[in-house]
Formats: sequence, C-alpha cells, structure tokens
Amino acid sequence: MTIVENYFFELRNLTKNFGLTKVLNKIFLSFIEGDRVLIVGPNGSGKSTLIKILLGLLSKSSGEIMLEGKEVNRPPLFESSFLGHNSLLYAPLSVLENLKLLLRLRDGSEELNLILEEWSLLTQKNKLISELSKGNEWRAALAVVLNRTASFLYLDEPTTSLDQSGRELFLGNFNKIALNKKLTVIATHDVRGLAETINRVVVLKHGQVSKDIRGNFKEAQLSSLYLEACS
Amino acid sequence: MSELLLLLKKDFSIESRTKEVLVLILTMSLLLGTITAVGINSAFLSPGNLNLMFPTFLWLVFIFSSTLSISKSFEYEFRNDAIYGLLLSGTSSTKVYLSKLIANVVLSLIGQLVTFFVLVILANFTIPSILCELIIISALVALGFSAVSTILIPMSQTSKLKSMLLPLLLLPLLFPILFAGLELSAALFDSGKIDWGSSWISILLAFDVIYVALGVNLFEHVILD
Repeated sequence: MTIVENYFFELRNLTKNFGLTKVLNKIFLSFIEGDRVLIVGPNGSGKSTLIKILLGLLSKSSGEIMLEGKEVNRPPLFESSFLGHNSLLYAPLSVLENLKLLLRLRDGSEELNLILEEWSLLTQKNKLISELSKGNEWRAALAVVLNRTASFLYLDEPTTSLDQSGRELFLGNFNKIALNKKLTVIATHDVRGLAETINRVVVLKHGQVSKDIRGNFKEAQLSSLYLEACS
Repeated sequence: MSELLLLLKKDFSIESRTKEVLVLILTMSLLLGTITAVGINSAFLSPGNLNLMFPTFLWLVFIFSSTLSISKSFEYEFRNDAIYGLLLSGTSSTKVYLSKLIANVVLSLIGQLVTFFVLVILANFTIPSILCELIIISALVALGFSAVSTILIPMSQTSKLKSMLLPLLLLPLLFPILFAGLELSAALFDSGKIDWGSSWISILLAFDVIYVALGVNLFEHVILD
C-alpha cells in the first residue's frame, strides 16, 4: 500500500547561493498542514536562510517552490508571521504606535489593551522602541508576531534577548498559537519547553538536510537531537 | 485610502520626531543657496543675465540638497528591518511606495522653496509674480525626482556600492525631467508665464507618469532580495 501524503508546501532541489558561497544545497522538504517544525543545526548551517526563503523574504537561486500544487517564485509575505534577528519595529515610534500600525488595531481597543497587559508592556506603551531595553523591545516584537492572523508562523531564535519570565511568556503563547497555524517553523539553539508543541525536527548541516524526523518528542529527545546536530 | 493615510501618518510622525531629512534639506538648501548667491554677487551679473542664470542655479542647488537629504528617508525603514514587518502585516508594497513618494515630494519641495527665497534675498533678485507657476513646475520635477529616488535609495542600501549608487544612477535618470524643469523655469523667468501647451510640460508629465508607474511596479522587487 502506498501512503500519499497531502503536501501543501514543498521545496524541491532548492539551492541558495550568496555570491560564490552555497548556503543551501539541494534541499527537499515537504510540509503537511499542522506541521510544527523545529530546525536545528550549527551556526552557518543555513537555518536563517531557509526560513527567509520559506517566508518569501529571500529568493531561491535554483530549484522549485510548490505552494498548494502550484509553482511559485516566492511564497506571499502577507500570509506569514515572522521574527528573525531584528525586531521589525519602527525605532522612532512608540510601542503603542507600532502595535496599532502592524496589527491594525484601534487606539483603546480591548484587544490592544489585552496584548499590552499580557506582554507586561502597559507601563511601557508610550515609550519609543529606541528607548526600550532589548528585552522589552523583543517582548513588543513577539507581541506583534504572535498576535498576527497569519497561516504561517516562522521564528528564528525568538528567545535570544528574553529573560526567564519573558521566555516563559513566549513559550506559553507559542505553544498555544502554533497549534492553530497551518505551518510553524522555529529555528533555535534553546529547545527547552518546545517538546509539547513540536511534531517534526529537521537537522541542517552544511546547507543540507541531514535528518528529518516526525513524531511526538520528549524534552530529552529534543535536547539530544540538538546536541547531536551541533556537535 | 485609509491605509495610505496611516502610512503617511507613520512617515511624518517619524520625520517630526527625528527631523533628520528636514534639517538636512534645510541646511543644505541654505548653505548651497548662500554660496551660490555669494558667487552671483561676486560676478556682478546684470539683471538681464541674472534672470537667465537664475533657474540654472536654482536647479543645481535642488539636485545637490535633495539627493543628499532624501537618501536619509529610508534610514528607519531598514533599521530593525521595520519595512519587512510592515509588508508582513499585509500592507501592500504599492502603498508603502506611495507614502514614501508623497513624503519625499513634500520634503524636496520645502527644500526648493527655501533655496528660491535664499537666492532671491541674497542675490538681490527681483521676483516677478511667478511663485505659483514655479511651485507647480517644482512639484512636477519633485514628483519625478522622488519617484526615481524612492526606488534607488533602497537599492543603494543593499548594494555593495552603497552611497555611490544613488548619484551614479539618479542623475542620468533624472536628466529628462531636470532639463524640462530648467527649460520651463527659464521661460517663466524670461516671460513671466508658462506656456501650458509646450512640449516641455508634456515631457515632464510623461516622465512623471512613467517613473511613478515603474516605481509602483518595481518597489517590491527592490525591497525584497
């Protein structure tokens, strides 16, 4: 019996070069709805580049991207929510102005207040992003990213600038929100607390997929996979 | 439309807080205008010759001050990669382009007016009643200038050539509209009126339309890799 998977998003033989450097080399990845993928790998293995190509921020050098059965040059940005190495917030605007602009919320709306309260940003709401600590800037960035109504969620090192309480806040929200997304992809060196949500692990090494495992993972499994990938 | 207004509010809020482009354009216009006026005075130009030369000085100062100042207009779009956050929020790249374009037209027009008054005052130029017509010509040139520069500035941010790329590409592309602007303003200073049916007006309008249409279509490709 042949099992036919219902892939809605595929990368076929995808390669990405920056000048003469091959960052991604012959990547084959197929996603089904509800995939919650953890990408692990050592520095320079191509995790961030892969996420940016999935997102549509970077173009491929060669290969195919298939979305809903059709070949696309790049996936449409507006269907995705993303946080990478920068906060994607306007530095000269306040937290409140950024949230209103990027989440299309009205001043004083209940949703806006709930978000500010949840991310402990109520007292900081009128401060400019450039005046915030890195940790609070990151909270504001995560508040935007995790409250967007997008089908795809991509996170690249989302907990780097967070303290312990910020990390717990992120994990609580992430584990809840990722369940409702069509596809979630997270690349991180901090895999603690992700086991209950993740159902697939992709290991990248030297720009190639060296392992692709589906299943329910335990905390210890994720840790050992991470250590093995980065060794 | 409301989305475009939201983006314009964002652009002008950022400019009103940082004042980076405005201060730079005012400073450049004042300094270059003053230097040019001193040069004019030293040359002891006759009123007739001054009338002939005035538009050339005006547009020269415009090119330098606007090119240097407008290049700062994308500073906060690329800091924190904020422009990508905006595109991810579902905002169309066309509206992002149009809001930047409008903001840049307004700022370069302010620069042009400052230059005009600095030159008029310091070079003892007698103004004929042409201000309205001059503003219209300046607005049309500023539209073409901003349409091209709003595409080239993000390109120069990501290029290895960085700041060199903008003047290298901008000036050749601007040649038709600057030439039309110069011819129209020279005729205006000479006769005190514009022939609205002249071919220079058609050239200026045509290039404005072409550059804005190109900008709208190319902006997303320029912003993304």
